Amino acid sequence: MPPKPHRLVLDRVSGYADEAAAYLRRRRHHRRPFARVSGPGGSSQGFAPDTAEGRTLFEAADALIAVAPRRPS
Amino acid sequence: MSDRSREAADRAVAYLMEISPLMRGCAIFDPDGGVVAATGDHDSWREPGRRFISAVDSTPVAGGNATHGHVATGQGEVFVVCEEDFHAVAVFDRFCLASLVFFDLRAAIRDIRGESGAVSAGAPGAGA
Repeated sequence: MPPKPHRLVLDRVSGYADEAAAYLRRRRHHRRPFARVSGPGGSSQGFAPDTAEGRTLFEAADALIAVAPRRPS
Repeated sequence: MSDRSREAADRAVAYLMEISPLMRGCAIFDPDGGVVAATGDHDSWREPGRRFISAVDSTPVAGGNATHGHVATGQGEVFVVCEEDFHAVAVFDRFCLASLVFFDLRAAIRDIRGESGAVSAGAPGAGA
């Protein structure tokens, strides 16, 4: 039995809304600062900015970012 | 390091800048912590680069020998890889593709090491 016409429109709008919500979730996630280090054997660990290791990493990263200015667009 | 090797290192850095539009700059460090090649002034990369490498290596998971590290802040992203005792440090704008960055940095180090003739015949990947 073919779907009712209004269902097609509703499904499409729902699909767009889901895509937009996923996009916004990814953007929120990607904007958070993070630090991750990988060691021998494939192990890796993340460090939050409020930890001792994290502060050391973020301060060192800030110093490097200051060395390399943005490219002129 | 010979002049030919340094030229190869400079070419590798220039190539990285060319293929990475989001890259702001990078530097290659030899096992002694000396700057082999870098974008811009080598001296300006020396201490911040060493500091970052030391910070990454001193984490518990690295145990003194991190393979790679990635720090993202609101102002940019910083990457470091260690390949055959050389380190490559790079600064990028936000939202770059991390896996590709690591690949490119490792490839640059291997190119430099291959040019310098420092890769031994028995090392993995030799001749590849």
